[in-house]
Amino acid sequence: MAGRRAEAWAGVVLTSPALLVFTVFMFVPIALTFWYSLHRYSGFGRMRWLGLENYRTIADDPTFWTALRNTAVFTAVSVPLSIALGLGAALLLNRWMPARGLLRALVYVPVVISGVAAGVIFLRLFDPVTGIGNQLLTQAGLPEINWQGNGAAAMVSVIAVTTWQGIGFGMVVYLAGLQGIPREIYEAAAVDGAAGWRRFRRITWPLLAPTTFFLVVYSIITSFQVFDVVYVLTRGGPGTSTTFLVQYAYDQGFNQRRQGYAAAIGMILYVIVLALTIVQWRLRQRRDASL
Amino acid sequence: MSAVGRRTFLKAVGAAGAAGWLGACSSDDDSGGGASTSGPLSGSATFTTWANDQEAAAFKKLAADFKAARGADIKIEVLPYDQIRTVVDRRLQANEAPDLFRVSYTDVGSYAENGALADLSDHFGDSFGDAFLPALWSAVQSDGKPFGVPHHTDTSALVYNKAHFAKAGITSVPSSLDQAWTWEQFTDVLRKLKAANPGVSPFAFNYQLFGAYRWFNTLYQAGGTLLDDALENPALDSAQTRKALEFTRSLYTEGLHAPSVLVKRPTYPDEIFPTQKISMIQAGDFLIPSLDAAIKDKFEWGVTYLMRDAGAATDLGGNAVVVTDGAKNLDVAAEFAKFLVTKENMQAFCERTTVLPVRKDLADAKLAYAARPDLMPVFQQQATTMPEGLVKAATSRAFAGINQALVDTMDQYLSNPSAGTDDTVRALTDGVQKALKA
Amino acid sequence: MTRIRVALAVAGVLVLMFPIYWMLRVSVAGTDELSTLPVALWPREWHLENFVEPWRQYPFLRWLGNSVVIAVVSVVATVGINLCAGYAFAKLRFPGRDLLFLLIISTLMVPIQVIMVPQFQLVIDLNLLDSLGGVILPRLAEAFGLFMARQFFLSIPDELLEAARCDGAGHLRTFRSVVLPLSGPLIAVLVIFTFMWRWNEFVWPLIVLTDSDSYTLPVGLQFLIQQFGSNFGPLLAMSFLSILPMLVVFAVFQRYFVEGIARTGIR
Repeated sequence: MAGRRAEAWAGVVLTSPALLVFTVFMFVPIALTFWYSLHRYSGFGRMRWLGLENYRTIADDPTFWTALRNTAVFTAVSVPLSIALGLGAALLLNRWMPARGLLRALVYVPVVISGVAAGVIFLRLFDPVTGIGNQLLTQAGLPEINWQGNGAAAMVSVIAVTTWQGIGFGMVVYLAGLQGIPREIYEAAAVDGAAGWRRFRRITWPLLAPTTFFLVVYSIITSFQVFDVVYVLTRGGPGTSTTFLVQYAYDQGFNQRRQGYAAAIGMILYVIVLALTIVQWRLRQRRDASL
Repeated sequence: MSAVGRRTFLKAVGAAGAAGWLGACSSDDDSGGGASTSGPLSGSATFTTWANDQEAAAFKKLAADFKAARGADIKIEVLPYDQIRTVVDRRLQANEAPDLFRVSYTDVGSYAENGALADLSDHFGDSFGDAFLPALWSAVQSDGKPFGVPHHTDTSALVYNKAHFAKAGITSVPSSLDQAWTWEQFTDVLRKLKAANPGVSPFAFNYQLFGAYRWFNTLYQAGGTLLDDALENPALDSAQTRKALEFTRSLYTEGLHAPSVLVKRPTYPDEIFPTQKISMIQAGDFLIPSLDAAIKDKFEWGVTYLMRDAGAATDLGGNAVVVTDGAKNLDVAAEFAKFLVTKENMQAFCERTTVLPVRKDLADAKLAYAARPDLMPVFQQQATTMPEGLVKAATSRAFAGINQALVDTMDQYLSNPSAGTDDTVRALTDGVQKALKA
Repeated sequence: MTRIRVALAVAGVLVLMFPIYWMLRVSVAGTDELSTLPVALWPREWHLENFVEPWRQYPFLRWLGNSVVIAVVSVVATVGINLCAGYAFAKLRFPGRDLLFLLIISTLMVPIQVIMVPQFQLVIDLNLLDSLGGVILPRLAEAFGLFMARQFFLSIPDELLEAARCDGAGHLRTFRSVVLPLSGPLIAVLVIFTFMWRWNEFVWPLIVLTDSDSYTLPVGLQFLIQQFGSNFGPLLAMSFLSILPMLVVFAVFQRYFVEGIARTGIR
């Protein structure tokens, strides 16, 4: 009995710093965000009670729906893309080759670059007039692309940057996953004559399922939060074609001085991401159960 | 010139009689706008502003002069233009606002309404405001109380690359307001420029982000109006608005406008012009020093009048300096604000940074502009074409929201040849309506 | 076969590295060179002053210092908090454990822009505006690191801990003398991730730091984007310098990285 108490006591001691920071800087602000979302508030001056008015306004706000659709499109394209390329890089660099360590490190380099710096770099690549991107296109005999004036092209440019930054992370996680696959399984498969694509399809991919699951969840969460690159590269434009929910919330709260409205958008965003995560988790559990 | 000529602007700014802004008699009356108090001060105040090199230098010089004259320190803090509003807001929220800050006329109202600014009635006295052009003096007031001083105004004209014009065989440009190009002539010029200068965009507008309202130049040139006379409802649902929208977009679809220069992104044409990738830009007078510094001897450039359609029109720009409610040193802040707009100091600032003064007694003065003084008369002339309705709207508290409606709406229309003009008019009307109600 | 793999890998890496190369190439260019098209792929002139000149005009060194202090303090504190809590959530039984853990994990889904408004008010109320503490403290609540730490400790066999306890060690001492020495790979991963996140963080310092002297590098960089306008040489030079320290940290710790990730069970 004394052992139990000591254990619980140790648990409380060890978790108390975390609980303190999470309570003060996460749980309380989340609750306050909900509270703000029921008000009209400019950031300074007085708060005015609105009840659910902000949420009703959101329902009729075309820009909100555009931002939601943009976020969905962006996530649906960039998440699979960076995961697939990350897996490709991991498979390529898993087994020994000359300078393998260096190549791995280089693939990872874009990950460690700040979104702002990445934005600056790609501003130079995607500048429609003096950018090297269009220069290379012209030299290859292709038409120039108006990266910042055309909504679709601007979205492509944002996806390009985030994918560029996402591949390395996918690769490292997959490399770790590949390390966890026992050599014996491959050897057994070799006896059965499985090789190449078949071996990947039958052994590697299924055994990497938990890795993929983690990456999908993680990437969706981060892609719903992408901000810095957009802030530097497109400002959400042209028009609202690369405005995602976080940009919209930020813009409403800090540029338009509608902090209550921004909080309401934030609450909706939170619910969406939470729901997506739960759905994926459920799907995984069901699949694990059926295996 | 019919609908929106010089007279309307004169009426709008309320300058008396035919003298008006550019011809106002100088006033020797020191009680208005003069330094009515001159005793020594102590302590310090912080003045937050955005600034290009010339503006920063001018403000620093004024702060040093103020220190010498009155004994109080002014700390000049320069922030990026895109961020200053956010940063000032954050500090207001934290009760750590600067004592004074620079703000566009269109933003004074919303700060005042939120109780962020200090009522300076006691510091100014009754006749202080008489020294300024009435429209701009009213722009720094809310509910009849003054919250700051009007500091300067600026406006747009056409800045062009002489070498590109020569190549296109265009040997002369309009030399007076009456001869300004019509839209047809203007489009013709752009077509010639395009043909003669491959790989170069003929033209770009300066309506980015907080400057989106500069598109209203085009609207008013077409004879359109933004708001009804009472400034209560949008008046955009008109053939003139459609014409202005279609004209603007046609420049993009015909390849006459730089494709990457739109409304929402901070791609400013004045930064591209020195690289000779754009032959002509609509640009504000305050850009002359930085253009001059960037272009140096690379090519010759000049300025001419904005194009016109049903009439001529240009925008009211410019900024005020306001004092915050939480100013730690209200006396110093208010006195510095007054110091900034004495006749000599306003003149010095305008000369150094090529902007237009807002004091009646400087309206007539010949200023010795520091950079390219040859160009300023065009801007001064062009300034007389600010439409009355636009000046009134631009100094109303809804204008920041109206500007935002443009930012959110224009790009989709301009960058998409199949976007419906009617839909855009409707979206603009909705946006303006929302801003008026907010 | 290996040759094809090498060729593919090298080609892929070259594509991925091109933007970095271009950053370096532009960083030594003068304004005229960049506005004269086409821009040469290899520099014709070397404007190395681009790397020096901005230091004179802007407090780059202060920004660097701020970034270093923020990143290092954050790393030490975050890693400490996450190790302790991760271990407790993985190996100790105490009331409310699972509920608390779930609550903490659910904060992973909260975009920081969403709760920034009240967080900011909190920072003001705690009198931390424009201070490094205001940047650091709210970010100590780092659920992802805590999640990784817990996963890692779950993989440590209970027998090992029980053996230590049989020797009479208390829970805290077991943690210190048995568990921590085993946590090298975890610590490496947490250090890299935390350093990376804090070093690169943009919006939060942008909001909290209102004085240009207290900016961090990414915020300063955003400031420079506007100040330099179209003068891209110095801008890209400063961009490169701003990511250099992060590259060094990564180079030092990357040996442990894959192993660490493998063992934190996020695969």
